Amino acid sequence: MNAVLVAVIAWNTFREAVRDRVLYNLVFFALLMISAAILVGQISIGIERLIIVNLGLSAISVFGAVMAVFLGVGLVHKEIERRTLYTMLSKPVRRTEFIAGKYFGLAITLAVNTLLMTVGLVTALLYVDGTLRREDAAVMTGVFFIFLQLLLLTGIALAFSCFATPVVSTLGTLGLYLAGIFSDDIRTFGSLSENPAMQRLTTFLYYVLPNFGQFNVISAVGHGQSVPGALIAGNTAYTLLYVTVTLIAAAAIFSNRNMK
Amino acid sequence: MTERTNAKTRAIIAIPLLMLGVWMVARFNEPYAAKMQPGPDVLNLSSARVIKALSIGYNGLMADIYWTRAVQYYGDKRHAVQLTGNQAVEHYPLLDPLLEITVTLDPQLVVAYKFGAYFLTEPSPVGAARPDLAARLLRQGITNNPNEWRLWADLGMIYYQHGDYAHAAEAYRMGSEHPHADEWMKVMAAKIAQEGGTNQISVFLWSQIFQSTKDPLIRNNALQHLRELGAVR
Amino acid sequence: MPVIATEKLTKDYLTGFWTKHPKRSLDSLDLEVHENEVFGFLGPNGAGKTTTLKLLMNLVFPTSGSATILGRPVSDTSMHREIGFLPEAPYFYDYLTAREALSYYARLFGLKDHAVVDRFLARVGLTEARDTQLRKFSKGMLQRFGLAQAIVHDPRVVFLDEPMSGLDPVGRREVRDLILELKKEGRTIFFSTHILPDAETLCDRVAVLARGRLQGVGSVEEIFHREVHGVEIIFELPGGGAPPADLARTVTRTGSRYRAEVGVEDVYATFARLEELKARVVGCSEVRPTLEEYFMKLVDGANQAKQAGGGSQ
Ligand SMILES: Nc1ncnc2c1ncn2[C@@H]1O[C@H](COP(=O)(O)OP(=O)(O)O)[C@@H](O)[C@H]1O
Ligand SMILES: [Mg+2]
Repeated sequence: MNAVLVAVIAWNTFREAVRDRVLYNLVFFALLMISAAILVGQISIGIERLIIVNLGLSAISVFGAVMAVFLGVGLVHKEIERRTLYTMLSKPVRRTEFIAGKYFGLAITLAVNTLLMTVGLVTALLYVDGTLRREDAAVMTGVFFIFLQLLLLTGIALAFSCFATPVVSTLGTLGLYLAGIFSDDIRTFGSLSENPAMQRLTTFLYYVLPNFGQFNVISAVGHGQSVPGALIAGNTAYTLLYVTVTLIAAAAIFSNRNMK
Repeated sequence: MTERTNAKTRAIIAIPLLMLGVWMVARFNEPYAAKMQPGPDVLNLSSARVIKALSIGYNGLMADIYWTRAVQYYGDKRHAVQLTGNQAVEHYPLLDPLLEITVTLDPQLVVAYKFGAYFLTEPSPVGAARPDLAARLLRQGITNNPNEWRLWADLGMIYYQHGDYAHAAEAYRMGSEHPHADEWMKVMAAKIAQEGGTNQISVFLWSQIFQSTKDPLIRNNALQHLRELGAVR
Repeated sequence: MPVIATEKLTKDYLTGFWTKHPKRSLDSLDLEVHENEVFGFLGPNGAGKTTTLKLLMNLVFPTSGSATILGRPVSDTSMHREIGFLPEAPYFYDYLTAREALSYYARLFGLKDHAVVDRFLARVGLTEARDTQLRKFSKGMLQRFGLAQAIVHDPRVVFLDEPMSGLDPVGRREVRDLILELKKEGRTIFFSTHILPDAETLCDRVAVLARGRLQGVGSVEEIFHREVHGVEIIFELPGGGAPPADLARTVTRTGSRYRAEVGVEDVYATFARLEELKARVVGCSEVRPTLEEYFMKLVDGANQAKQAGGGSQ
């Protein structure tokens, strides 16, 4: 794997997103945070800061997820469809390198987007609260966990993108996302059933499906609860491992695919 | 070996190994992640459970929205009562369901228990005149937030206002056992147990409530009570 | 060692929506292209030219058979340093300007020099348009850009799929000159086309493909001049009279001139009669089948062969 090639492709993918005005979603985020910051001050129900944190983190997560899924499912498919891949693959670029480049390109895009939204959230917090507090560090951990989820989501979308149409990929990615959010409930459901085969199946699913539930700390950090370092390390490791799985799968599928 | 077979072989060998790692890390994360999730589910309402499911991880935000709705509902009704002077009809029928949904979505939203109980317990037209529901809500809050000793004080106040001094004293005593609880909790527990309701105790409790919040609604109400008791003019 | 070699190269595409059945698009192609040749790959639409190029570029994988470029299997991506490819009706990242896009491609070869990029844009005549986004390019301009990206890294072998389609006569002329320049620089050029005059003036050798099968390989002369139909004689008659009906196989009139087509063996006799008629001969040349005619014959032959074989493949 040639890291320079991967970086060149990633940079171009980022450039494409920027030129396609993907970052315009930040305008909506900014408007949302501004109106929320002004409104909560007037409603005065004792939870101004909490609302800003919940709303801000939820919006960062939703905006990011929409971006990860909708850009992710087109990453490879669009290049096949528009035949821009013909020239790409006639260069000394391995298909694995191409996949890695596309992945990191979207990852950079998401990182920039998340970072700018975080600046907006912190500004809104400052406005509502007057100062930053120690608990706000936990909010940053919340942002980091959201970013990890986006990295995971991008990997899944990219893997789908290598063999399915965007519609199928979107459904598949969102399906896995929801299943991953509810994986706790899937296991609980299994343990309620008396059937041991069912229990084994739901436990298996719980561990195999991407466990998005373990990343959700929005409510907790809103209440100023700090996130244990072990969970930060654990979730980071989890993301690295799972993303590697999706990339290896994507590369294997893509390397064996005929370009139509 | 071509890139094709290479990629395939790599996938076949590496993916199971990596998934093993995924499994191990997920097991490792489990206890920590569990601690970050909203406390034990005390689900009394099926609609609350459904809303929680539908909020797909954004329950914090949904809780804020429901709390805002509960406050607006209360505020609107109360405003209407003041305008029309029609005091008899208002019992705030939706208040309890809205609060229930709120605390199901975010069991750590302490304001919802505290103010919610206040809205529920006050006699009509100020509140829903349902101290039973208020007490239930507060007990739920105490279960979900064992560190919040002030919720015990709020519970005690509800019993105290309705002349249930035994329960009130018990609530203050329970709260006072909390390591961070203020000293007066213990005093109140003892005094209410001995003397029941007295003007002096009432004045003290209302001024505690007055000091415990910045919310103008609650402060005004506490002030009103203090006025009636002759403690302020 | 041949620069490009294919051995029994075969590709079946799975077609059909529900029940996929294989459709043979390329059938046991054996081909060798030598160093510094301009090799024309001819055939009507649907013959399998693009399929062959996609197999050579490792974009699709053969059903059976194999191919090598510069002695290395086509699946060896590192060999791509030495080759350039212009796809059919090419499309590029349209949010980039010509300059940005070409420097992106150049970077994939480790080339960071902007001067190189500008030089190649100039070479294909895009200097003025170099800061325009590719989405605003006409088909002909995209074709030119495609040529630039195929040669920017100084490749030894250049593959061009229908390089002249979509170009006006001037553009075709320029591409032709470019191909000849590339040959002069010592490169090997493999290009496909269904436009025969292009091939005729350029190619050292050509291969003709129809229905996925190779119909013949050889020099343009060998393939297309194999048989001379006859000779045409253009003449004028004094006083505007008409020639006798038995003068030649066919006589046609255009303006004041006549065109007689005669068998090679009858040339002298016909001249003698024209002399008698006091005709003024203005031209005389060989008549060979037009490339289109030759093409049609090959394609018809392939069709008949297919029918004779009961359509089995
Ligand atoms: N992706 C594909 N799927 C199915 N059939 C295809 C595909 N690509 C090409 N074909 C078929 O293969 C044959 C050869 O096509 P092609 O190589 O594009 O011809 P050419 O480039 O000579 O015009 C055609 O009959 C075409 O329909
Ligand atoms: Mg073609």
